[in-house]
Amino acid sequence: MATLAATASGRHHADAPELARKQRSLWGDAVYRLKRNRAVMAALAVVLVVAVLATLAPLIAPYDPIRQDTPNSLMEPFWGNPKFTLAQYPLGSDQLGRDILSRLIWSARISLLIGFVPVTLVFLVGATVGMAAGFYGRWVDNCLMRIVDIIYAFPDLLFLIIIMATLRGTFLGNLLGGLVLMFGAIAVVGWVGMARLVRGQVLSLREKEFVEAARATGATDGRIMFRHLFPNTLAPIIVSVAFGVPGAILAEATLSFLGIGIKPPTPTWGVMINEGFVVFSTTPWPVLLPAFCISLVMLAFTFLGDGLRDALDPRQRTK
Amino acid sequence: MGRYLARRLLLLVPTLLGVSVIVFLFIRLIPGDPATAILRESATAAQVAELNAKLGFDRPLPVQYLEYMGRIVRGDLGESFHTRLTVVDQLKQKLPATMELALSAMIIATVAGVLLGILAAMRRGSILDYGTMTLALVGVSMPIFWLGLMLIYAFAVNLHWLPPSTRGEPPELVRTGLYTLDYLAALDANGFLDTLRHLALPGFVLATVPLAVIARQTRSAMLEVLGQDFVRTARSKGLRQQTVIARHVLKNAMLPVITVVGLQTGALLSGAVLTETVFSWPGMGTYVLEAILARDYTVVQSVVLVFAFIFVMVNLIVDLSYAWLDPRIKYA
Repeated sequence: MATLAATASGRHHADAPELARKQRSLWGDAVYRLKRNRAVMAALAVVLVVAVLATLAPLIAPYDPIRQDTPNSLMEPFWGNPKFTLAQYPLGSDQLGRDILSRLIWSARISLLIGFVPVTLVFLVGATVGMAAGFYGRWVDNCLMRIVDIIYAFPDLLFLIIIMATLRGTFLGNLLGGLVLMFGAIAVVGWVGMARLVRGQVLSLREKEFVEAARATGATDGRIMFRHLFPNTLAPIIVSVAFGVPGAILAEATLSFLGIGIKPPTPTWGVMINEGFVVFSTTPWPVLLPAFCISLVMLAFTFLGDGLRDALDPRQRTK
Repeated sequence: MGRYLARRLLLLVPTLLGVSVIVFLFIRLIPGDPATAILRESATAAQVAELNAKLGFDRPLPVQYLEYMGRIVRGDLGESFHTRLTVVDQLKQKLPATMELALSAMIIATVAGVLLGILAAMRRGSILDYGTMTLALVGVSMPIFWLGLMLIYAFAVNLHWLPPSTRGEPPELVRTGLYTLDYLAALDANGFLDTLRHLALPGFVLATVPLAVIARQTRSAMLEVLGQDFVRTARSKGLRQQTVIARHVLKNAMLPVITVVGLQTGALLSGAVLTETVFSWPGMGTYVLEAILARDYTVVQSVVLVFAFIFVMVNLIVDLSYAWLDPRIKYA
């Protein structure tokens, strides 16, 4: 990588030695590095395709994902034995005769929602708390960080299981088939990591000269936090958000697999694996296909996070 | 250092108190009272009220909490509503099971992860490098419950090479509760091998995520150090490649690796809950999960508290080990 960049700039200098390199902002530089990273571009393409499929699910899914066609249950996908394949179920059907392709597409909606909504909550709450704790210090820091410590003391999955298992039967647990509770649970477990990250950043930044300069010009606390400190913490926040998305998708799949996630019949990849496992030894596709989707989307977001970290913080480059 | 340790230990008290309050309240959010859950729907109102009074659930919440904490402090973790077995007795069996699984996973992950990371760094840009790092990414992207089920299907159900679940037969004399050690102490080779065969699949599954993370961290730390001046100096002195790697590079590259190993040990507790469920491993994970699903209040409260205690202690040890390993780090 480094040698490539060196030769490229070397040629540039040979052609026009007097030409200065075009100035790029810090963010422009990051975008430039991202665009050159082929793995990131491929991952982005995967995410975009899934996002489009998910958004247009009602239009492109060939069937209602919960429509049952019992006589035609457990159809093989089109690459399976063609004798048993009905053209109308391209990826086959599950044991209740539901179209797997339609279920996968509709599940993508839930998974992307699960990927993004809790992460947004995590960002809002975590960044605010971390900023306040780091900036004000003293008792504010002490109080907030004790709360963070408590939640941090639970193993993530255990806390998620407790929340989901106890609140599933309540009013909250029934909103949107358990989706709202799932958003809340992942956010409650996840915001502490973000708060710790932002607090650590702010602690080191608030002693910097530019903060002192801002204060000298009469900037208010709020202005210093949002105009000066916040933009400087953004890079690690973005990376953490990018890694939070696959984490949330995995959490949903895991909880649904344990039977305490999203309530059937709402299709999600985790629910599909859970339900398909009954017939796995004879017909593996109802399990393999959603598992493949989960892995693909998680891989894409992991690549994206990796690429973002490399692009935003060249010093931490994974060489 | 001493003051730092004291401060950290002192901070554990409010943290664990907070954990106990949260679990205590959460478990009481379950719709319906515990007596109904125990007696099932058919019980009469009088029966339910009687049992509630007997178990102390008719008293105000703060009183219940204080009584509960009073027992915890005296080392009484209560007993299960359903099985009548005390939590302490159960933990004596479940804790070693989880420890054995987690230790095996950590050994697999550390040894394989560090070796793969070193190889990838030394053959940078080779097929081996790309292959290892791609596998590492796939490793973190694969739901471990799904990997576990696949492996059970392939190696246990189809090939019959390995047992699909459980820990195998317990040794006649259980000393440590770690079957591998107990069989070794009894000089029972068959039992030892059988235990290893039972450990293989769940140990590997639990190891995948830390293995991937450790391999990636080792590789990038190695590359970082390989580019430093003192490595060039060592090479120019005419030292052999192995000497440079072993004496100069590895020593300096290991600190970030140890950080990751420590962090992953904490994360292993979450993974253990899931891995144990998939493999019906009779450890803390299955114990607490079954208790949560069965609304077994006392068991959930106490076991979650034990989980949290182990978790914060692991984190504390990880933090302290930095100062010990790297004299440049000072704790105020």
